[in-house]
Amino acid sequence: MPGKVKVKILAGRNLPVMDRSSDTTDAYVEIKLGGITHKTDVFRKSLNPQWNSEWFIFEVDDAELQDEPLQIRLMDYDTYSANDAIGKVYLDLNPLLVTPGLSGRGIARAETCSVPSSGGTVLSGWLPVYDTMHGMRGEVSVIVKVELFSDVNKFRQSSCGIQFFSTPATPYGFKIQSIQGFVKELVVNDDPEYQWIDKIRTPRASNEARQTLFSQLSGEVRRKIGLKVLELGGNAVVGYQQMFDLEGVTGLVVRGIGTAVTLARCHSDGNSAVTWFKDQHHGNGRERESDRLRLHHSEPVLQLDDYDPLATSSLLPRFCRLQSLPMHEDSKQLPKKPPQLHGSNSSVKLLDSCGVVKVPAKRKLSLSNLFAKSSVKGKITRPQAPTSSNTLLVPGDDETSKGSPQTRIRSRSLICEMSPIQESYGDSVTESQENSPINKILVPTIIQPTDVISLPIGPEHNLLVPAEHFFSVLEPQESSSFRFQNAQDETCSSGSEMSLNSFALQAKSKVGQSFEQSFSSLLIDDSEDISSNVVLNATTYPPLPEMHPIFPYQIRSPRCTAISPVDVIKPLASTTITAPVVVHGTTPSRPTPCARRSSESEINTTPKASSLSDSFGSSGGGISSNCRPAAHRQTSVPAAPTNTYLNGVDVTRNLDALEYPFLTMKTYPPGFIVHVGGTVSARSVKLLDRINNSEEPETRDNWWTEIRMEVRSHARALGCAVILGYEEHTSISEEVCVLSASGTAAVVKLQHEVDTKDINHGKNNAVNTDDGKVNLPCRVCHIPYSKASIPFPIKLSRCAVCRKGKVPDVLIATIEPPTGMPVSGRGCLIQARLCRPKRAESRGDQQAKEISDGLPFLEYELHRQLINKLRTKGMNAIFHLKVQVSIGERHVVGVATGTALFLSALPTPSLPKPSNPSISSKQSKRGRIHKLLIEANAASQERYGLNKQLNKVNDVEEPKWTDSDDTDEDANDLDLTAGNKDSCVIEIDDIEDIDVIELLIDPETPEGFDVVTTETVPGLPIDSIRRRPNLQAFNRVWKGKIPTLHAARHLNRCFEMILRSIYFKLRKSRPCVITNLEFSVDLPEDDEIQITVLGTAITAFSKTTIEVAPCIGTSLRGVGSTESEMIFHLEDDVQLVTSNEQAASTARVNQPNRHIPLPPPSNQGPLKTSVDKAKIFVQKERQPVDIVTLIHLPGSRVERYLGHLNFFFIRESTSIREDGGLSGFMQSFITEVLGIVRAHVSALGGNAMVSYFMTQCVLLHNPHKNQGQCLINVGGDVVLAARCTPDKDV
Amino acid sequence: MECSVDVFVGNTTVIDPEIYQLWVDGNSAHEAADILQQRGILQQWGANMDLLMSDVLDHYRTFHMLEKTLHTPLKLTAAGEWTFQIDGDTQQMLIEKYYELDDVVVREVLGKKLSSRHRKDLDEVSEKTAISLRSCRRQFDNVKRIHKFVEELPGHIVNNIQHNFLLSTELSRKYAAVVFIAVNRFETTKRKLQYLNFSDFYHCAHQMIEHWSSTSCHATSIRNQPETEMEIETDLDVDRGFLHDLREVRILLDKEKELKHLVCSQLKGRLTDKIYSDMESSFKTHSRSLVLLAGNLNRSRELRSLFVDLVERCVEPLRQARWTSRDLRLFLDYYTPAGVQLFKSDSATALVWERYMKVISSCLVKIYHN
Repeated sequence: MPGKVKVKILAGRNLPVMDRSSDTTDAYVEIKLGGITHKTDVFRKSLNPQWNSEWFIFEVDDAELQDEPLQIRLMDYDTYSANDAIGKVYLDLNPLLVTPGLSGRGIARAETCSVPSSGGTVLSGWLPVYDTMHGMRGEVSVIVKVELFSDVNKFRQSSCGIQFFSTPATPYGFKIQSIQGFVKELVVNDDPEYQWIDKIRTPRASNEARQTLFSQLSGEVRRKIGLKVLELGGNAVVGYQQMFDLEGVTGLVVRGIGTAVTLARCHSDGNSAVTWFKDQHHGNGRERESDRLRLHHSEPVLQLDDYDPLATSSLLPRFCRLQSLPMHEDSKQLPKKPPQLHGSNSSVKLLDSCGVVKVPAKRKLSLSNLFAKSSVKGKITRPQAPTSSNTLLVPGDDETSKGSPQTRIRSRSLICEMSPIQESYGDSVTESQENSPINKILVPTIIQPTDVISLPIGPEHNLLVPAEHFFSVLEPQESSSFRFQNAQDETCSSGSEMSLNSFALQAKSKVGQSFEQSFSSLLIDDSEDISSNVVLNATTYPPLPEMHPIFPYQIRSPRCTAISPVDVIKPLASTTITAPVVVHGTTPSRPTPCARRSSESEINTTPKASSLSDSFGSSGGGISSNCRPAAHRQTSVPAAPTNTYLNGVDVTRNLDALEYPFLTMKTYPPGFIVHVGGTVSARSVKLLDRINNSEEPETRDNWWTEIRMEVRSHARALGCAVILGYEEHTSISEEVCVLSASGTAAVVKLQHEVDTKDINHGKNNAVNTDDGKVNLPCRVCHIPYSKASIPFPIKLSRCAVCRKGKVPDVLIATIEPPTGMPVSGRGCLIQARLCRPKRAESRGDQQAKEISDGLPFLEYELHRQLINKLRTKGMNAIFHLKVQVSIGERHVVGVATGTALFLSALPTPSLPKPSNPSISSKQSKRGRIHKLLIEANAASQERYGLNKQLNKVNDVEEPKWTDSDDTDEDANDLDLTAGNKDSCVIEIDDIEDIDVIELLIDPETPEGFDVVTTETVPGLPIDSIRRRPNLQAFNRVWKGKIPTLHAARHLNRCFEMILRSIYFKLRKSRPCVITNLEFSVDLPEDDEIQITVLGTAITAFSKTTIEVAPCIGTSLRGVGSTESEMIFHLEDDVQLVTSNEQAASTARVNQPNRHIPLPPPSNQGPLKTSVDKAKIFVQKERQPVDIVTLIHLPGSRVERYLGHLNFFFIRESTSIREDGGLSGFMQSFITEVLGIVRAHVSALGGNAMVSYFMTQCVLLHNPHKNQGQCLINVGGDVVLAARCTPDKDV
Repeated sequence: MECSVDVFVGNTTVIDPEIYQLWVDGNSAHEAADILQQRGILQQWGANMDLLMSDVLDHYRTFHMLEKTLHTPLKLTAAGEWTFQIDGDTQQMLIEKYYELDDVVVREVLGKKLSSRHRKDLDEVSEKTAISLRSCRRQFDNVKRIHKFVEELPGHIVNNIQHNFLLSTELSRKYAAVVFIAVNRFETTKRKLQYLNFSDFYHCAHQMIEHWSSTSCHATSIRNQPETEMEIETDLDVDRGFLHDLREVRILLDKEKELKHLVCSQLKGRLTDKIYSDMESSFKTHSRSLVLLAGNLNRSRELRSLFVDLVERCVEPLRQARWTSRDLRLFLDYYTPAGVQLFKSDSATALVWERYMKVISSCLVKIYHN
């Protein structure tokens, strides 16, 4: 129940004329949240109405608060006809839910103390009124407040307080206390655009229905992910990515992935922990203490344990699973303090076991030991009482509770109370069994219990709880006790559910001479739709011998065979995971070996299971507080290949032990990454089928599970346990869908763990220990596997920096270059583009197969192009690589974009050498090409300063090199004659190959531009952009025809043109750094290609302009004295008051830092000046809102994060020609969208948005009807930033 | 390269002043690109025509979107919409340039009714002035818009324009002059007036705004009008009370001899003999026309034809007599005080005379050219 939303509508301005006769509008406002609607009075005959309404109050459930947007609709009142809609404002309330006072476990807590600002809970300002048919239509001034009651309900469905960051890094001002791991969620719905009703309703109604739905689904996904995070014990999600898959008739899939972490404020975190601790220990009695703890720092804990009441209760009669959620984040940071104080608690989770079980005969009990002080040990036998749901409360008195729902947890005051409603739910569900609608609704939620520790459960379905488990959580030494040895956990939980989802994965692999032959796996959903759910995951690898050396890592281990066909960037691995065919009967009483929900997949081939289970019991926390017990996997997957576990992996066993050791962040703290293995990726081609039960999107889940498993296995093959910079994408054309997942395999280290690790792992991690001690900056580049275990020909050489480690000749990663890694020269953009024709006539299976067959070739070519370009540039590493494969009617396009750089540790690349063995007459031509390449190479070295650096390195290093005792390393260095292993030999057989070579030489980037896909230009001194730079996030959309003939060449030209047009556009802001450049390609129509480019241009001030720079701040504001003064007074009073508050808080934030006070939000009133005249500029004009795609604001410092925004807009027009053509339509749409984003940023009290993204930009055009429609999904993190004062920099 | 969509949208609206000027001047996108090409932009940046064209089109679309906002410049700045994010200097530049007036065009527009009928005739104006039609239309529309907006506003017209359209003082004054002439419907289009350029009218209008309007400093001098009435006055209207009082100066017709004596005695030796003798001989005519003009100004028809009258009765005879403008200034310099002297018994009328002659002298001197 816990939310009260108060809305006040103050005024409107610049409204459109709705009444032609009087040239005015009779406007009123409808405010809608969930099912409740309020209205203001009609303000007659004005384009600038002043409603000044009373507070409209909505009392809503917090789950609803998270899902539902607040809809503010402006209407024009008509006496005689129907009232006309003017437009709407969608307000995402989520940023208001992360209130400083209520936020999860200490985020922003410290900050709250120092800055008691209401900024988090109040939104106020002028928001643009938007209509899908007319665009922007004036603005409305609103104030929205959210009052959250602390929800102590353990089983709630909401996850308020979990903060989301699209920032793929540690947010500024925070540190990550612990990483809980990968979180994901997927929600499926029908797309209103394809429902029958769409045929009879107006385009506006249809668009609005869609916008509303998207907004709801987006909220829902976030809420559910939040729940998982709570469950995992985290308090935030970083690197959050949300995607909308518009499948068309088969529906709409909203996917969210992110990394659950526990964040703490950087500075005051330690202190607060200490206080807590004291609080604890000086309390009267234990019970007291824990209660107090609750009261003071309740939210995190509460949230952690809260569960969707509906979901949970519905499951009560069935299975309950005992889980514990230990949290050790503190133990890492503050080893002397009881780690658990923050949030460590193992709690009972009533886990659904998927509601399909017909016979609720066997049960498991859930235990919760929240702050258990007394140990509970014993067996709890559940009588088979179907009517009763029960929870076992660990703490104190009622250790065994059973029977009626009312016995539920009373003792721990607030925490465990359940509202009667929920209880009754429990009952009703019991009666109605799983077929009840409630149950269905709940199913998606149920997916959550993924990464949770399960306690062992005896075969008799008794609970056997190890005693230590319940020992006081307050005692540090017990922290490790949260790991339980587990037997067959989760025993019988999801019996029948399994049967629904279990599938057979048939894998056959043929091993050709030097390559993997076609390999296909067939996925059969045994319950429904067998035929439609054909997974074509097949690939053929051509024998491409020369390709070997370019893949730094290939592992062919006899033990494990992998599914890696589709991945070219990564090895031609020959590993196959054979998953057992698990078909479960519907008898739940039979303990099934594989007890997890199938969304987590049964193909949990965890190769290192055995080693894990060994050390499991003693594992000391680490990154994840909830490792998946590996032993269970072992049992569940009998056929699992054994240990492919290589050295160095142990370091990360905790992360690794996660089902998905994926981190979506791209930037990591220094020292976190030990080794970078390389890029791993997987693709899969699927046929879209109707999602029959949208509440249970199992097929989609399975698809992703499958792919994630594959990615994971690739990483393992590289000896890496963790995947960093993980991303997922889809490309849909008609009924075929290509799913892609990629990331960077790496070995990571948690600083605090080093010691124990080294002791534990003996010889295997020799390399690791070695390096760990030395802590060389170049270590990151060293290979994570031992040289001996590489069965494939790969060129390894000694690290050019330390001469100790082995390095590959090329390193490719999707993450940002780790800090401190030695780089020579500067980085630059590198891009490979490829277009392959496709037979248009094929449909369905045929088409899917064709695409699937073609993908490996595409990827191989792409990779070859990339590597050759890299060599031509004279560089040896690529970071922040993004490979996108898009499918269309006639073409398949692959684009790989990254930042090339020269790693000092890696060997100097050899220049590609054209060879033409067959035709000698073309000698001259070959010579010419060679010359071209040499020239390009020289130019690049000059341009990016490789030359200088290289020489330097060589000068210094040369002697050492020869001194090296390991001489055969040198021989390894370069041997062009060594046959076709060398990738740097380009064969010219035909005209096309010549094309290929010409494609290798990129036109030079104009002087004054540095273009990269990374956050900063590697190798470029930071000071060059330190000074108050101009920041400009830009969206470039280009759509044009792509001819079938010479498509590849044409595509190349398109990209060149787009890049050059960007340079040209920004010509006047040179010198300029273009960062975070991101391309995405869509093939919407037969022969059309749409390229969307996103990036941030940072105008660096050169030496000469430095003097000018300081003036910028003032000149921005100091324009026009009298007129601005006037404007000023037009401001609304109420506005002034609130903004004054904000100003005050800002002033406080800023003073100590000697920063120019920040542009607190929009509408600054004159009152502000009275706050602190000396410190604050009189804001005469609206402060600009910076938007960047970066995680930071160059020249500014992020003070606070104010929430994550995610918008979905639709714009439709039936007068495209009159609007200035499609370009005009698009331009005004994007402009307006950015305007709306800025307005929302400002209304939330921010002045900038970081990590801005535009993930969807779907443009549909019907020239005959003069009609067009566009969908855009944009968002980012709202921040309040302090701009550095110029003098500070000087 | 053939494409259907080609846009670049930055968070900060990208404005290229050079291209903006070309747009304001009424060039089409292609013309603008050609001009830029001739200026050597392609060589300078190593671009080709496609890129240039794409960039120009992009800007043009932005300008097109901006145009609506520019009609109400307040929306562009602080209190404005969120759609565009443009820094203050650039905003100022955008507005100023958009409202820029070409004197030749304004001269053509001056005195015409700002109706759509006249808007259609702008192609003639364009032909005559060699300013592109688009630019003429923009200027016409701007004048019309500002006229419509300020017409009814109380207070100082220049300030009104400046505050509501955020223009520079200079530009606001231009608009003020145009609006003033339009509101008072001064005749400016007669053939005889063709030789006058905009700056002449600009000067005269501001003289009148400054000295003759209801809000001018002299307003309260004669009749003590109630304060409340004063407040709703605007300097767009010529002070009716003043015009009414002007009838009193006809007394001068009776005192012509004294007047002539006063003036002649002062001017003797200061003018060349030839001019002096002409002045002496035709003093009656000159003086009469000025005094009669004053006496009749309270009739609105007379007021409207003020410029025609000045040219017909004063400028042309003097020109025939080959007076130089220095001669004229000298004459007026002594003529006004002489009149004041004759009113010494009636200080109110003396003030009225002075107020009248201040403007007339200034205007006459200004318009006395070829």
